[in-house]
Amino acid sequence: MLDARQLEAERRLIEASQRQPRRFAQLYERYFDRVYAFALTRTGERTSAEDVTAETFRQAFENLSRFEWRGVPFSAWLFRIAANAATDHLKRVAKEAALPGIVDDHDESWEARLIEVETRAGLFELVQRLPKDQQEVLVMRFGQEKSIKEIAEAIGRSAGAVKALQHRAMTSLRAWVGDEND
Amino acid sequence: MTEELKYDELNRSIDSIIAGGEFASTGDEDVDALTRLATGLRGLANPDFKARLRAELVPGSSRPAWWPFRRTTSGEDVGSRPEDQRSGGPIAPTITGLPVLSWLKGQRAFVAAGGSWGVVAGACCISGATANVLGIASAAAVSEFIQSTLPYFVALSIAGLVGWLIWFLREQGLTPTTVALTIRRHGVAMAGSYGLVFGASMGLTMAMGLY
Repeated sequence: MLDARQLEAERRLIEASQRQPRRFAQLYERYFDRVYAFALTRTGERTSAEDVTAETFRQAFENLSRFEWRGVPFSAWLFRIAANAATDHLKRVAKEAALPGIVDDHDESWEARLIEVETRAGLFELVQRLPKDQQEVLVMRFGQEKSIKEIAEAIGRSAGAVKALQHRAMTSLRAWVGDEND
Repeated sequence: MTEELKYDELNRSIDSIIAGGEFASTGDEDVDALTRLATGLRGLANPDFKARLRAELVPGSSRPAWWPFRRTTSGEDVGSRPEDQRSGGPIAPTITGLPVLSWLKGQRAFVAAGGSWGVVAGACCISGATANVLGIASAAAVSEFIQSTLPYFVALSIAGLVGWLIWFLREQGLTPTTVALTIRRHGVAMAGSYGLVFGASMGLTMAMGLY
């Protein structure tokens, strides 16, 4: 939860983005992981999550001038857009695949899944705190789904070194997640 | 289980997770714990997608490489592109991956800011030396000018550097945490380049016997 000072900073950033659309990039950076985590949780699949994330930010960007600050975090507005975008996406996929039941699986309230979303987004954010070489390995491994061999070739290290980096990165994440849960 | 075996076990489990498999115990408690965590990373956003979408939404807003608050991975896989292969494969990333060079790469903006305000600090020395070389002012006049104005130039440069830092941090919020973090991470580069440029201009005037 954002405290009063953070809310005020967020309000200023939104107003600045309404005046200067370029500032929207900051909102994008701030909320990308959470929106993407939400989309991934809701759709369960990378390509769909990317479609929903893109649609969410496009709509947010287009409608930002109409956004009125009412003291509620900006993320609530974004999640509402994302929830609608996800529903539309799933309906479209179901229609194309002629599987009308597919939407029912995701019909639960999106608020109910926010804890899962926050956990996932938190983990994604922790990846960015890793040393650059470890971060690079995890991003290529999980974000780009590359094999150890491909990563080794890309960063100019041996496969053994990449596996060690991967293990070290996961161990650090585990320690941080443990610390956050304590 | 040896470390290498653990690395291999974890890697096999991650392969399975990425391929859409469910968690399966390896019999090693540590590896299992890491594998469970790895399931949460499945679907981690592809940085290429993130960068593309950002560029599409807000053209020209790509985050510079030196942005200090979040480490980012490159949009492309350096070393794996055809042009990299043709130009000697992973040699370039190996060189740029050297600790000193990669540290400097992340400090560019701060080195530039420190150096620029170092020029301002040393402007009285540089302008005095130039005037003397061009025959516009005598050595004594230049020396007096430098002695009387140097504190003001230094004060102006420090104020400018602080102002730049405030401007730079405005987007993150000017809090003691962001200031402390920036100074901790980039203070050496900023102060170093400032000192180097200012010191060089002072050294020049001293060598010319003007100060």
